[in-house]
Amino acid sequence: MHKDVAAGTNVPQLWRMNNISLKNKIIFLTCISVLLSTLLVGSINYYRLEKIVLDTAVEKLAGETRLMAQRFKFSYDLMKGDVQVLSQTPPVQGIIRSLSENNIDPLDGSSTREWSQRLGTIFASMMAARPHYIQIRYIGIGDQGRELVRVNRGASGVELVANEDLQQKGQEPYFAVGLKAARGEVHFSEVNYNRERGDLDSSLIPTVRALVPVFDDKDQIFGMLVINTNYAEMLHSNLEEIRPQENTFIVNNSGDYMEHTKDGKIASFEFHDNYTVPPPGFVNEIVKSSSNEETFISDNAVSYFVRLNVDPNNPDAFLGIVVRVPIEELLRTATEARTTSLIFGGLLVLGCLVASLVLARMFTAPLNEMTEEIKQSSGNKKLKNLPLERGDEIGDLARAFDQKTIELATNEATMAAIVDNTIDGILSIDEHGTVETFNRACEAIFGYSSEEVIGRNVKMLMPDPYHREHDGYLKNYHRTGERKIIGTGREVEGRRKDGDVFPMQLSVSGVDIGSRKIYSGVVRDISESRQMEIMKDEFISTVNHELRTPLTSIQGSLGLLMAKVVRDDPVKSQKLLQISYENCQRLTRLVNDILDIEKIAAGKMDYQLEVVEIGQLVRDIVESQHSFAEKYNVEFKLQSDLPKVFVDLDQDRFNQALINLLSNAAKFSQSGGVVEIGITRKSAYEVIISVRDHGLGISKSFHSKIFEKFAQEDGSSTRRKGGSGLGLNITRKIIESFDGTVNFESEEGVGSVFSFTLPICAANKMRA
Amino acid sequence: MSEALTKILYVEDDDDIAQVVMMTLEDIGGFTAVHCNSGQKAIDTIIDFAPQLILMDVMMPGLSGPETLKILGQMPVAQDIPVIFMTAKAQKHEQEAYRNLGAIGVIVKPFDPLALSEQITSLWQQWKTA
Repeated sequence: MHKDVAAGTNVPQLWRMNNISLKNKIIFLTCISVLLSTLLVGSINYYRLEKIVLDTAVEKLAGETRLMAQRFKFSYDLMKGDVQVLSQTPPVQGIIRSLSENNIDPLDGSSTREWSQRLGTIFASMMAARPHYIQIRYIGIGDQGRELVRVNRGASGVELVANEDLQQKGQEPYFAVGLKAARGEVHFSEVNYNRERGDLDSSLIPTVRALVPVFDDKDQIFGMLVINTNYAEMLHSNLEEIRPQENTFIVNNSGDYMEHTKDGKIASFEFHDNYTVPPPGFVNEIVKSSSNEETFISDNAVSYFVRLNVDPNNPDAFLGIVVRVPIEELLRTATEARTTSLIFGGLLVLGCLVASLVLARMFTAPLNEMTEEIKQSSGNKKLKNLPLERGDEIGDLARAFDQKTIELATNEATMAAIVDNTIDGILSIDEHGTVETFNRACEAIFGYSSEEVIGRNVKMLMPDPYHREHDGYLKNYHRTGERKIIGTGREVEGRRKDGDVFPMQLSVSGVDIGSRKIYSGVVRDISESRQMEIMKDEFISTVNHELRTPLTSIQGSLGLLMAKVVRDDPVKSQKLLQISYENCQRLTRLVNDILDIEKIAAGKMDYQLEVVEIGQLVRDIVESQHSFAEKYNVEFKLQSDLPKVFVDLDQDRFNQALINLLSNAAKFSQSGGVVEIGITRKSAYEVIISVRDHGLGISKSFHSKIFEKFAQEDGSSTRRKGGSGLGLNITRKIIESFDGTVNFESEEGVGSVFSFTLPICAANKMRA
Repeated sequence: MSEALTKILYVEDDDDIAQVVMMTLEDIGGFTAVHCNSGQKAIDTIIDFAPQLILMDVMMPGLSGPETLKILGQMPVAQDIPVIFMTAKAQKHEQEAYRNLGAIGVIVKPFDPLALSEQITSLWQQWKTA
């Protein structure tokens, strides 16, 4: 099947990470991990720090706030002490006494006016010491709560209010409170604007009142002492003293509040029934809250609240001290720490970037060097400059590569040796037919050197029509997968460099190497084996012919003898019987010779080698052939003085060889001729046995063919001699197996000399 | 009936076979036969003898059977005389090749001497009527 070779071009997109260089990966991953861990550790630290800082700050804030609250409490305590002290001063009881005795004190005779004068003086001096007191009054319960003594802080200073300007306060809420108060019990009023004669004072002074009841000597409630304090002044003066570093709010249970900025100014002072701006959120919460301390955290600020109960007789009355700090201020330390750690982290990442650059370079440089080395090394050369001595993974890789290269080189060398030494030609071409490899056997077969062929089209090795058709065939194969030669062993014709066209067996296989396709071909030059086949066919045909020839005579003779007309003729019958008999003999010789030829060809001829004295052997053979000589009317004449030499040979086979020469000599001699047999030492090592006839001789044209199988010289006489045409072929094979040679000399009309040259063997070297 | 076959020129280099075949042709077939032991001799003899048919061996020294046939084909006196080859080359494709050379028949050696004359006559008549 035709396979799609484009698989390599359609590589699926791997994870992109695989396409990033190792160096960049190391840098990237290092930076990312450092960045992430820095951010993680930084964030955790920051949040922990933030909490600690916040907690600490709130703690600190609470401390400050509590301290501040103590200060305010002190103001209230002072007011409480002042009003109690004033209520104990003698004029208070003096006025009671003088009023009950027609304005004259029965104890010392002072008039009410005098006591009032004295108390006014005390009040005034108190006022002088307490700048935020705005009024001190002594109010009697009689006459609808008419004021008895009153000191005001006016524009021109502290002044004792004249008798006629004193007012009735029986309608004021604090008056009712005072009536119910126990001895020594100080009450504080809500903060409100001061009222004069039942109307709001036009100067709108926020006022808080400290009130203590006054009893007469019969323990009857007589009146009350009231200190009016400018609430705002009081708060402000406290704040002035405290000088809070932060924004501070003073809130009371009604929801009135004062905001004091950290630069020492009253930012606002708002009454609950007359807010000009909406109060901060915590004001409402504080008014509703019953806890003593609380932290309020809004988006941008932290506020700490401390509750201060100012009036032991009224648990609902309290003063709330709230210190508010912007969060960012609180967290400045944490923020600074965060900035520091961010800068530090950035520096760390930068440092790591540099370090990873250096490290990545260090790690990847040997890899790159190796890659370069491997790329540049060519063929199966051993790779130099590999970091084999390294103990790390790169060293492992290098050693593995080195090992593989050696293996590869060994394999390649082995393959090359195999390919180069194989008898078959092996070549490979690419998909366009360009030759890529061409082994030695190919060089021998085609006559081209590999340099002449590699890089050129394989067509050059093909005669027409293959030469013309090859391009089209390759294209067609690529397109359709239809093959003509691929995978099959076929007989085709090749063309050698000299233009000779020869039969060859070609087997081609296609191999996919990555996205490439190559074809390898195994070529076997079968011209020789084809020649052998032809020769074998010819041999069989000749043997067939040679066997049938005597058979024809035999069958023909015997067939004729069956016919009465011939059988009755004694001369003809005799003749036919003789023909049959002689041809039977001829057939037997022929069969024997053919068997010998086949045995020799198959290497199965059995030689019983022994060292013999050649002269004696030749003499015995020649004597045994006298009857044969007589048949042809020739004389076998053996040389008289034979040298005594020994030769290592098989006697029976030597017999056969020599008889062949003798019978040939006899057959081709003229009747009455002489055949001379001689033995001469050619040298210390060789002996020559020769057979000379004086017959027709051998024509020059036949000299080259004389040892071929079934070779018989043309001429009317040849067949007549009844040879098989195999005798000399067999003779030469036999003599060659004794390490000897067969030679001849001949001249037409003069005769021929055939001779064996055999190596002389030491006489004592007898076989065991 | 057309004219009867009587005169045959026989060409054969092997003496033994020649003697047997001549005896067969003359004693069994009753033909007038002349034997030549080479192609050249046959060419030399043909004008004087003027045979009706030539029976010829294939493998002969000197001129082989086919070579002789070729020469005879170029001789006006001989070109119309049919030739039958006798051969020990027994393989089918070899016999086919000889027929293609223009022989009217091929007789394979060894042959049956008692049937040979009839074989020849039959081939001759086939050729005649063709």
